[in-house]
Amino acid sequence: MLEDGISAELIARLRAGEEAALGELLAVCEARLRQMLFFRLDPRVASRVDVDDLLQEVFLDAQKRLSHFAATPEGSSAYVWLRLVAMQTLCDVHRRHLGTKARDAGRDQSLNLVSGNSTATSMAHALAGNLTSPSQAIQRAEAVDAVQRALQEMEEIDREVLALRNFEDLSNQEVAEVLGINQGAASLRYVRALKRLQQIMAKLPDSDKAW
Amino acid sequence: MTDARRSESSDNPGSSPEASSRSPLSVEELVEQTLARQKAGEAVSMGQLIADYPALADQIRDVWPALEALQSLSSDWKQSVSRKRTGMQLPCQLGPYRLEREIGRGGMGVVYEAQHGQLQRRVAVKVLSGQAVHADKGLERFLREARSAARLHHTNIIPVFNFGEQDGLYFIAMQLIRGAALDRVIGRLRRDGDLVGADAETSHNLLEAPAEECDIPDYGTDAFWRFVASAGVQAAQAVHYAHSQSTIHRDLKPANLLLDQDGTVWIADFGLAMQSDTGHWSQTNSLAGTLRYLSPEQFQGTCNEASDQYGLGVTLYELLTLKAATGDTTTQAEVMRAIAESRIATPRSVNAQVPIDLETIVMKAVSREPADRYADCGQLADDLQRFLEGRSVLARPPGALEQLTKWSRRNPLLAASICVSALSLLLVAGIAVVGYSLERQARLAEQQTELEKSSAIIKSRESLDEALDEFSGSGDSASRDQDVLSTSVLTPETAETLGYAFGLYREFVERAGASPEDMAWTIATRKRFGDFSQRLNDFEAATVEYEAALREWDVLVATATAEQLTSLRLTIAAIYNELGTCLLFLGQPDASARWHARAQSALEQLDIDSADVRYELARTHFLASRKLRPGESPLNSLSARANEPPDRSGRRPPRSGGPMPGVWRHLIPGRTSRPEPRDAGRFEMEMSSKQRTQLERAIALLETGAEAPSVRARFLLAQCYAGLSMGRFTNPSRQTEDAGEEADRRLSDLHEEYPDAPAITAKLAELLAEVDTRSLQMLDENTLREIEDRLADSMMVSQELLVNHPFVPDYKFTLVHTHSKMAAVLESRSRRTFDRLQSQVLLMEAVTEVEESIRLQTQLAKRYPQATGYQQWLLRFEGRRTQLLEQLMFGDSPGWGPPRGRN
Repeated sequence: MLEDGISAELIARLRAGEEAALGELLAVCEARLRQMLFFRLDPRVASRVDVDDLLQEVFLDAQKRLSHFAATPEGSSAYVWLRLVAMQTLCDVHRRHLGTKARDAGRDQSLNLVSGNSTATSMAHALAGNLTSPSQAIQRAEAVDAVQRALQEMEEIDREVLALRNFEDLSNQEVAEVLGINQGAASLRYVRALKRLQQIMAKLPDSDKAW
Repeated sequence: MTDARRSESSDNPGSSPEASSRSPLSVEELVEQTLARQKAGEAVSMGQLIADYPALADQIRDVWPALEALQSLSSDWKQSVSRKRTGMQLPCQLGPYRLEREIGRGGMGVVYEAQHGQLQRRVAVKVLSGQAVHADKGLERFLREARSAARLHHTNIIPVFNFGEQDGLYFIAMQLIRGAALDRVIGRLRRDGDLVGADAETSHNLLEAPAEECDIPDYGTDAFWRFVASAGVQAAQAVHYAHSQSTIHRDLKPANLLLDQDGTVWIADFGLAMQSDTGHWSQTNSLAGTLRYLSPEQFQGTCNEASDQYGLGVTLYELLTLKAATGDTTTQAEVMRAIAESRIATPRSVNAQVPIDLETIVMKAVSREPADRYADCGQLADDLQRFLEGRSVLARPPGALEQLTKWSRRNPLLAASICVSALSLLLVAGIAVVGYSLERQARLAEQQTELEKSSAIIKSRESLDEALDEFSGSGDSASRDQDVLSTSVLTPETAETLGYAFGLYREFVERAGASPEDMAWTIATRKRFGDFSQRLNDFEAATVEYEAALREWDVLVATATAEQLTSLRLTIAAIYNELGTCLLFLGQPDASARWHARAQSALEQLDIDSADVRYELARTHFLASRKLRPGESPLNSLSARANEPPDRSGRRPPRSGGPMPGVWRHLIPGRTSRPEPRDAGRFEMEMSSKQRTQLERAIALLETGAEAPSVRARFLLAQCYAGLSMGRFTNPSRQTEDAGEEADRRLSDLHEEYPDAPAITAKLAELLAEVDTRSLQMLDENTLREIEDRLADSMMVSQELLVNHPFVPDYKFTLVHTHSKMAAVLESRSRRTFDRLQSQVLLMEAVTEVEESIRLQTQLAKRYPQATGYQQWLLRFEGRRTQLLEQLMFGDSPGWGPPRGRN
């Protein structure tokens, strides 16, 4: 449990419903939570919403639902719970800014909502966001495009595993908990997704430069 | 292999010995293990890994480069993220402008200092938040407003250079002013003077570059008063100019007035404040800050030139006293009450140094009644100029008589209602004025001759008739288009005041003479009372009134001429129908049916070619087709009533303080008795053939007739179709589907034509949300989505309604239930999918919906703590949320839940 920086003592206090403990949890998890919010925030909304405000909203939501944590099975990760709260906050924010169309947006292309396109897009955005110079941008544009296509071709759960591990910094154990699969399976999927990505990268021209 | 592992464990103390001793190692285990080592700070290369685990070499080559690439990309990304605030994640180029730095942010959006690419001109670019530019009709409106603002050319108005939209961001480019907004200036003066100020952070709209403020004379000196007056002259002239160009600012407040380094005043954001913003008042917490600059009439939805003058007056007031005109009020209710009561302390009572003439000018500009302010801002500027030139000002402090009149307008009753219902302000004021004059006239009448008395009475009657016309009709017993189209709605608060006014009215009824005219008036008025009680859901009281009217009618029939009777027959038939409605709600469906039958036979004797007769007859059929839905009968309200003996004198003493309990108790929906949805199983959602026949007859009547149908007829027709469409989703047939389409089309058309008629809008919202959530499991995915879309539309319609009528519990209640239905639909959809992720997302959305219900319901429950029904619903929603969250976290939906993972 200490691996994620959350002490057993903190967990116990959270289970007891102590609000101060929630503040501590948030402090411990803030970096990962920020990353997660950045990653999942719809680019259309990102320009209007401040992540710090969002964090605050997550905190308030978590406060309201603190009792739900006590209801999770023994050994559940507090971060996974907090992340779930944050996902709901994010849903709310998307709804507020995009209206009910937030839900409909993904509908046309696929049945997938959070997953499907949006994870692929989030990843592609994260990748594209690193381009520093125009020449680099051109060089990488193709790669990013290919990666995005690759991500879309992947089975959704694999793509999700990649995102969770590499962009949300979740441990394998946490990924398993988030996806409701066992740890072995989570690890298997992770490696499989990496292999798939590798295959696509190998096909790219000039791949070593692009990466 | 053994060597390799040994060397690994000795070289790398960070890796756990048990992991490396497990054998054979899978590539998955190796990856996890290596990641753990990396996390502990160890550098690991592919070559080293392959050397250590040659058996896995190929597999390592298969994944490692991708992993490293992802890691390097994501670590760059993470670094950039850890520093970034999303709100600033704007394209650095917006149109021709390069955004350089943020110089302010507030409710309306974020302001950047920017540079025009080619012109090398420095500008301020305001990027509006999505909320400021409201949803779909936002763009057009935004462009219109921006265009009109861009046409303004005045030395004291910040010029707008450009405006537009890019990637969904609306922006306005305007001149960059080096200076400070007045709220900053006031804040600084406050601190300088060591005055304990109110909220320091009200600054909204800073277009200024900080720390470049102009020198302001020391507070309290003569020079300072002259500075205020001069700033006032500039601002008032600018506003007056804008008014002459038909542009209203709507949001004048210190944060929108900038003072540049030369002491010139600049007004920002002309025409940008969206009226619809008012709809969001109840949703934002920092309201008190914004509200305090609103004029009383703005609460009522009216905003004109005089409102701008008020905003300017309040700004000058704050500059003079360094205090908000509304005093040290902090809550929304307090501010609203202060404004409504016009409880603005004179500047000199805050600081006796303020020049008396300046005080008089400012107090005139912030008069509660627009008519008491200056005729226009030009006159305000002139008077301020007179002060500057040492001439005597035109404004006069109110005399004793004037103050008395003002006091009488500010009825204590008004104050009591207003703190809860700002929207009804003017209406209530109107009623209070009429009530006041009525009482006075009644008192005078006692000393007058019979002739004078009766003319006084008739005059009073007329004024009351007029004032109450807006409200006395009932939505269902609409007798005129006015009732359908009325933009006013009855809230518990207005009802309270109306109840008071009706008390006065009643005296006239009881004093009315026995002439046929008087009796006809009495009948009409009794009906009015009845309709009013019906709207308050007090069906018992309504029945009493209708029966009294019918007794009057019996007398009249025996005495009056045939001609006098004819004109009343339609009213009488309507009264029969109202009685039928009341009895239905009182749980006597058989008696109800008899009244409707009586209405039918009465109407059939009248001229069927008359549109009014046909309408009433159609309404008779429509009403007769109705069945009570679970929870519609307010039976519990009867027991509540029993505790309170009816006040037959009718007059209520005006009270001050909080809202009065009483008549409006009945007005609250969910009024304690809506049964549990599960208990409602016995209620048949489908129409009986008898009901259907009634509706079809009504439709036939409404669709005949040569002349164009009246609005109320079209409205009724739409409702008939809506009735026929019951069960269109859960039990679809050709008939229900066709009727549904008709109802949809007709109501949407009406809504489009009369967007401001709440009765129509509310029905549309109801129609769209009409679905029996208990039968959702039987529906297929496409139907579920269709319902979902309709519910979403209904929410939009309801929200629209609430923007204009935020205090009508029924409207909010509809929205609450629509969200709750939406949650049910989403939950049903989540059960259908075998994709756990998607199922989770749907469940999350369902939770969000339920939480929205909870949020809105909490507002209702807080506002009407007496309504136990509201509390019960709140508990139910909370239970639903818990259920959904449990499902979300443990995936243990009963029965056919989504599979737990794929392994």
